Amino acid sequence: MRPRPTILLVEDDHDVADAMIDVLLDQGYRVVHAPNGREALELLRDKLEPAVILLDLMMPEMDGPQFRAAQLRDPELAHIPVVIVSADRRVADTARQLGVQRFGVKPLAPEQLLELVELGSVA
Amino acid sequence: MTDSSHLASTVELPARDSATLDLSELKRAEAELLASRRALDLLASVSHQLAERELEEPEAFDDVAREVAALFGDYCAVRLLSSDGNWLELRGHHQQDGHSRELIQTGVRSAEQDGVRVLASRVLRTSSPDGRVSLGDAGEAIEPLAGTLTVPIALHGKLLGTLSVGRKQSANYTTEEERLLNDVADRMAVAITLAEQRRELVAERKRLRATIEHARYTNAQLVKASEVLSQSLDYERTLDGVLSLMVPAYGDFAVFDLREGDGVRRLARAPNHERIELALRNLEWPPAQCPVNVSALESGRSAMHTQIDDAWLARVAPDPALRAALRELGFRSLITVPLFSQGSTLGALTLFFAGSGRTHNEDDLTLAEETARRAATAIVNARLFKEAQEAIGVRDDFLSMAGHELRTPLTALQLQILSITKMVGQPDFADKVATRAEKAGRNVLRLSSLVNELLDISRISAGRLRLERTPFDLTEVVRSVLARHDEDLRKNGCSLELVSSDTLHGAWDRARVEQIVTNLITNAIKYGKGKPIAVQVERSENGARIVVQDHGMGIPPEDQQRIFQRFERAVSSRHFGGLGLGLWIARQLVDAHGGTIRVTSESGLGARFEVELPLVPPDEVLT
Repeated sequence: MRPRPTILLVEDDHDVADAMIDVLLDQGYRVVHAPNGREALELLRDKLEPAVILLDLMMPEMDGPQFRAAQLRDPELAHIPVVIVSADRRVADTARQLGVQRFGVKPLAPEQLLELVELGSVA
Repeated sequence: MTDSSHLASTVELPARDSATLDLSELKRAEAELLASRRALDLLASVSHQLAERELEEPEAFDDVAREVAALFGDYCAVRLLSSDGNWLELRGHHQQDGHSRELIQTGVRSAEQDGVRVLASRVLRTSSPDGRVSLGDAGEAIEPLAGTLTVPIALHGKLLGTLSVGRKQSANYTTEEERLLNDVADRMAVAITLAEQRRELVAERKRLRATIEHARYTNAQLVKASEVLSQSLDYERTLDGVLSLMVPAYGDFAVFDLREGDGVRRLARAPNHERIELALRNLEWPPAQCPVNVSALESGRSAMHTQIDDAWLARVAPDPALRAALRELGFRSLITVPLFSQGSTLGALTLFFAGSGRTHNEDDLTLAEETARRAATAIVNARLFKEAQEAIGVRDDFLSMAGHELRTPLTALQLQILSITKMVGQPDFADKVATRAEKAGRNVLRLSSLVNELLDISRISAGRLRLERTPFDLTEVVRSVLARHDEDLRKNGCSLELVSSDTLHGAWDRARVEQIVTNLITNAIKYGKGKPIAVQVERSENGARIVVQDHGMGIPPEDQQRIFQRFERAVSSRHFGGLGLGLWIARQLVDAHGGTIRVTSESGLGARFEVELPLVPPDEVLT
């Protein structure tokens, strides 16, 4: 199996993060987990270069929209593709507002998650 | 009325069987015929004239008097009984040589006084037990009359007045003349009675028309009130509608005091008078001990003040500043009406007339009261609607949040279960499946506890919470709950200190007590991440006490009551998972046990929750 790219998972719920990480690891991805937007930004500024960012919306400290705004303000980070995965039913609207093209609605199947990551990382 | 058959006798001609027709007889017959015709003409003319005239006019009977005087001599006077029945008032007269009315009035009264009195007393004695006649002081006679005759003007035995004639020569009137005068008086009586009845009819019609007009106006006002008040369920628009119904209909400006929560909200309206509106908004009513009811807000009674002057102001406002403020408003009339709802005063409307110069009347007060009654209903409805909207909003938020909370463990569960199927045939298949299944199991538990919480809401809300009390050791139960949270505590960096007596026995619902402790400890972990948590279980004065103390963010004083309510928590649900029902459920469970739960906290310094549970059910203590 050829080495798969790195994914930054920004998700506050421990159980959900754990399950996503397992599915992604099964497929050979490298996963770095941040429990909120603030820690995700710190990782990125520490020269983490993920192929895609999997972003939850509702999180403590810095939520998804706040993270996305900060990311777009930073020219070094703005180009990194983002995929939103949220349990919020209005995720489509939020994604459009944040300039994010791909999104998934929780709960989702492993195939859906993998497809989002694959398409998101080539975008 | 007198029988008129005697008229026939006056035209009866002498018998024709006489051989010679005496010329003088013929002349006499002609004279009699002429007299009869003149009598008939007079009677017809009297009826006709009186039917045509407005009999209330001061000189309505003058023309009739002239005609009567022409037939009966020099003088005629028509007197009618005054409305109080005490006087005979001169209503028509004629004197051939034309004295002034005043002189004749006094003069003739003097001359006729005795005759009238005798006549009146005779009529009264025979037919009118209630009437009285008084003739007042006699004046001075101007010219004595040789003969007078006075007859009653009466109908159905009721005396209406007198008809008098007089002449300077040829003293006494004949029986024929008296009969004729009686006939004239009878015609007058009929005409006067008809006129009286007509006047009453007209007055009655006028009254009816006024009543109808008033009813129409009242109805229109109330229909308008209903229309305006039913236009919107929006609270603020309803209040605005109430003011628009009151101004300008019942006041040039208005003060609307409305109880809201613990306070009173003041609305004011003074169209085109911004300065007055501002003054009204800040106007303070006289203190409660003021003897004058100026605002129905405190008294709950409506009142009307239509004579507003300096004396009134001094009574209402002994305080010079208030008096000056009231005088400044320049109002001259005021009504105040209460708005009631379920026996308490919801508010009061106080309405002033000033610049328009209008003054309030009883109708204004009644209509304003009725409008206020309708306004009160509309306001209560608008408030209920607002509360219902807010409750729906809270519930919608809760449902949306609950949906999110349920989907979170479901997301993990779905990923875990579905990914297991992909593992078949992989090298360490069995180990991986075991690990993942264990994780999935945790999410199933998490999901089921959320579902249980949701079920608890409906169970508690519907009053279907039933406790199953069994005797057990509280210390042991608290220990076992804490043990279940070992991993959670460790992951969140919280150290735990438990201080407890060896055993503490009582009769409680074991599962529900576990739930109370679980909810408190999960909150302590959630909001006191990375900080130590202390738990105490001890005997208290009233039973058992459980204390859970964290060192987290704490709860600001203003939120400390709210957190025990349904769908409330002190912080946004975005940042902390869960349904936000933990403390509400804990409180309901503690209440069901007859215990108490309270919190002491300061922002930033952690929170201390204390639960007191009686050892046995409270009703058993009583028996």
